[in-house]
Amino acid sequence: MASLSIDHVVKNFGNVEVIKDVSLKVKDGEFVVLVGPSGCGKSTLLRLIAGLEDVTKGDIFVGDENVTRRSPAQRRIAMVFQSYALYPHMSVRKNLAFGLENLRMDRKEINDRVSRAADMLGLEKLLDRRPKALSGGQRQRVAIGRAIVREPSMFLFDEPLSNLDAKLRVQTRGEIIKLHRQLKSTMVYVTHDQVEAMTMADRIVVMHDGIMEQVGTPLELFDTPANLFVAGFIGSPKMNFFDATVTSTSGGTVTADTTGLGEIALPIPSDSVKDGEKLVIGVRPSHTEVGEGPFRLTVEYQESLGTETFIYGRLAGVEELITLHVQHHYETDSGVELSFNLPAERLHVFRASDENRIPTTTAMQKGASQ
Amino acid sequence: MTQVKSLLGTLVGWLVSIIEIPFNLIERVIGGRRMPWVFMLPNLVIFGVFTFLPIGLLVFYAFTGGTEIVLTDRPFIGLDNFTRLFSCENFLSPYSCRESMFWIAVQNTVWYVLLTVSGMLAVSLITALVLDKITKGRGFFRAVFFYPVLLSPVVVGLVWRWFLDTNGLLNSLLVDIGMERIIFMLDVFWSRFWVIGVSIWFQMGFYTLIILAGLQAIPRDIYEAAAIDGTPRWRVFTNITLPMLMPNLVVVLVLLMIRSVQVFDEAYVLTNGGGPGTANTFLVQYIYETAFASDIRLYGLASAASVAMGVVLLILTLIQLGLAKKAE
Ligand SMILES: Nc1ncnc2c1ncn2[C@@H]1O[C@H](COP(=O)(O)OP(=O)(O)O)[C@@H](O)[C@H]1O
Ligand SMILES: [Mg+2]
Repeated sequence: MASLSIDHVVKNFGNVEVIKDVSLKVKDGEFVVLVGPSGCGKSTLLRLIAGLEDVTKGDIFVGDENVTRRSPAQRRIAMVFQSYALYPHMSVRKNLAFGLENLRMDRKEINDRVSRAADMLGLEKLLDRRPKALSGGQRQRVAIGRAIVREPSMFLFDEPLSNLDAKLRVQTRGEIIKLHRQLKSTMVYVTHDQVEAMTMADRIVVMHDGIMEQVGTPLELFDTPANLFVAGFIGSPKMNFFDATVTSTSGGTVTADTTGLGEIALPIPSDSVKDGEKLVIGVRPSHTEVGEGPFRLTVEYQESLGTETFIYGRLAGVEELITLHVQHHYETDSGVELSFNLPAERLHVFRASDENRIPTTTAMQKGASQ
Repeated sequence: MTQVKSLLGTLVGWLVSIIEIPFNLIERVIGGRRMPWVFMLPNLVIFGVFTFLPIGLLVFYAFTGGTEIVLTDRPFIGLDNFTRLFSCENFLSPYSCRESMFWIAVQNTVWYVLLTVSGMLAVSLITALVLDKITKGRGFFRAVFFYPVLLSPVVVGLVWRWFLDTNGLLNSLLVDIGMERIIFMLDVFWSRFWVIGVSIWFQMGFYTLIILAGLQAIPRDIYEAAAIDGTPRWRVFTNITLPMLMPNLVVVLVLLMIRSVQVFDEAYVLTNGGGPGTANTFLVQYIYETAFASDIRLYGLASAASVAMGVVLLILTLIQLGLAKKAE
């Protein structure tokens, strides 16, 4: 068991800076998910933690120990690879035992640990098979087993579920969470799938182009995204965005002329913006209220999921499709004009210049996240 | 332009129908299921005439006697050729055998094969491991090592003979650094040493390439998993690299063995006919000389030796393939 601390880490490949000055603290026993679009440097950061790549600048600590120059084995970190990276010519038993044999552990202890891990993961009947003779889900569990037997100070996962089918993915997700509860180990988990991140993480790190955009609990990221990127990346379907220009800051309320919505009041302090400033207003589909309201959407199509409905349509002057959400089944048709409302306290306001969030006046949102 | 095109189209159409007519006819006669044989026929004919027919003839010759080359003029003598080859008081001492030259050649060949195969395996494995590690100039070195493979064996023999000659480049270097001149090709040890050395130099690029391909096919993340598992270098090599390289090593071993048993041209030229004495006389040279280069041309005996060699090769290859399958 150990905490992890990444201190101003930079990684260059040639003259391309792939990780740009990242700092992060992971508490002992915490489950942290690194999430971000493909190519943003998640795997690279994980491999730096594991010691498979050397940092260009900065330090990495496991517990109190600076491991920056230590070999992967010395860091006592286990890693589960996206491809599983099982030893193809060894039986499952041997795959599990191999790392322990390297430690010159005695045979009995090795056998004990292997059978405990096999028991925990339901691999008892597969111990004498080769990886080739296993299904994807079983291979995945062997890969996790290989990590467990070493009783490492920390687990790293690099998109471990991306090679599984949808059903197995949900199931294995649950198993990994269960494993985390059982072992109480520190885990750093990489995925490009924000749903995985939201459902598994104690804390999420959103990465983009080699920097950390925001670190927080799933609810914090959902309720108070720090910038446009996080707002667009977290949540499904994606948040709706509208361009706006501040028209008035007098009388304690801010109003803005918003493309597609007209003149609306914004839930931000009037001293945080200037007249004429460009803004981007965001609202999640799940926070829209269909039925009554000042706004009109021309329906293009809908997705009915049985218990809920997503309606996609256009607003005058807005190029992108707008998504509305209804909590139950809802019948509509393309071309129909729908009225809807956007509750002012649910609006997210971002400055167009730096794309950062402008804190809202309503205490309600902050309250909800705690 | 369009006219030319349409003319071409018509021509192609004609050609197709010209080819189509006989094939349609054949298909009607023999049925669609047998058509694949028709398409394989040209290749089958070539293989038949230049591979299977000679093998058949060879077996026939092995069971006939006399010095005539025309098969119908040769008397059938059963196993006499084989009995002659294999009549020995002690198989380990060639001079106790009726065909002592054959057994000298067998002995030389066995030693040559053992040393060349193990030497070549070691050299090409090490070369491949080094080439796999370096990132700069890999292509260049691969080409350098592969280049000799492109040479003709006779050229290889001649170049090295010139290099190792009493007045050759190597000896003048030895003299320059104050050492004695060595007459390499008249010394049993040195001549054998150089025959094996030149064989390895000549062919190592080929085997290095096969092994390198195998090394590069091992996924990088398996090595990374081993690093995370804290595997010492030597154990990575013996427990991961070697087992995963096994299929390629078996291919190398089989090819290498077959080719070393067949050693002839470059060694013959290099040693000026298998010398000194019979120190570098190998099986194929024995077969060649028995059949074509002696006053009495014993085609039957030479054929029997060929058949024996073929059978031994076949058995060795089967054993290796069996082992490889078991290792899987
Ligand atoms: N060994 C490497 N050499 C050069 N560039 C690399 C290497 N590994 C990764 N990269 C680059 O670094 C960036 C981040 O890669 P990666 O960490 O794998 O992204 P992610 O896991 O988030 O999809 C990519 O642009 C990738 O091309
Ligand atoms: Mg990745």
